[in-house]
Amino acid sequence: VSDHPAANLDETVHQRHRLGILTIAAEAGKVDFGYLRRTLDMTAGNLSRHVTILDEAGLIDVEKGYEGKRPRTWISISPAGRKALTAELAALRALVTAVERAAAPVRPRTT
Amino acid sequence: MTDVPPAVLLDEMTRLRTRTRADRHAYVPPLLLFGVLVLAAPLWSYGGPARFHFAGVWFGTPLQLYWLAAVVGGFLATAGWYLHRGTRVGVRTPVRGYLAVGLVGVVAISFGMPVVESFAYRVERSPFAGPAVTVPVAVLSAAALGGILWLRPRLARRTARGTATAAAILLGLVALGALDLRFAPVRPYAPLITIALGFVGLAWLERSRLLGAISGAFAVTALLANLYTMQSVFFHLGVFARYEGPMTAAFTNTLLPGLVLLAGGGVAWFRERGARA
Repeated sequence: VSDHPAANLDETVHQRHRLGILTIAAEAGKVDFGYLRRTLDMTAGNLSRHVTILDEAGLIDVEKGYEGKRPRTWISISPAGRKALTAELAALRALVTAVERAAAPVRPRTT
Repeated sequence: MTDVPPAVLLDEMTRLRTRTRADRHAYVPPLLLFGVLVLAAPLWSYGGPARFHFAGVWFGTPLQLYWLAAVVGGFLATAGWYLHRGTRVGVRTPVRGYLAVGLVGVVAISFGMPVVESFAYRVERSPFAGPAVTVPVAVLSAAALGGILWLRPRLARRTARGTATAAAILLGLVALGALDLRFAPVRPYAPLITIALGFVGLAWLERSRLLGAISGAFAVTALLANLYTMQSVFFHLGVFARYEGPMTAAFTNTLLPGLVLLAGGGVAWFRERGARA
């Protein structure tokens, strides 16, 4: 197992839109499909594909219902999703720190 | 996998979190509503007799009934408002914890306070009703309650989360019961503590520093009202220095807490308006 921070990135979560869905869902109790589409500036089909992937991975819970005659989908983050999001953000921060350290100029030793 | 650099991705997630948080903030109407309800309480402070009697316990004075209606109505109206706004905007704040605080408060107001008041003379004689017992019990219960509320969203199983909710409600009742023993025989303003706890819970759910600051200021004034020092403050200021009846005396206790909520609501409204402009 590699010690490099990139080794801790989860393939399912480490995708810009899926990370966005999890971040918004973690901030709210429940979030509407339409709100996610507007906020992430995605098409319904594209968002639906990412939501299905996260749902199948057990990272979110999807609740489909009706408001009057209009169908409405609410999404909430699962405990596993919250854990995966925390781990992903920690891995990203570790990567940023590693990159900053590598880019820092090496000072010559004065003895 | 994404090709976006980690630093850019982290910045983007921070922006999304901030935007979602701003979109779900909805605490101005509850602040204004409870501000008005608190300021209206003295109108029911004329000290009519308790209407109901059960097992040696008298309850149902006009002020007790007013507080019961105000707290139940205020908490339900707040939960309804959050549900309505969440549906309209598309982001819902989970308000079950807030309702649990309200339920605990209502149980403490409608059962705990009348019981303690009816047995006030026995309470004073009891070694378990002194501050040496009630204050540590209240502090420990509140600390355990905080720990459970922190742990609850991290529990994977639904039954474990249900058990945590039940334990949180029980610990909340114990904490409020201990506070009742300490304060209820003295002042009928324990419902202010319930409202303050509700707002502290709401600030936590909203992740709002401003609401946290307003709730903290309101909690301080609520404690002052329960500790009987408000009238002394007004006396030293030279306002309401003479006793002019129960309504004026009650007004000195609810004026500051009510104004804190109304002013807090005004500041929050102004800030939200500025952020949207």
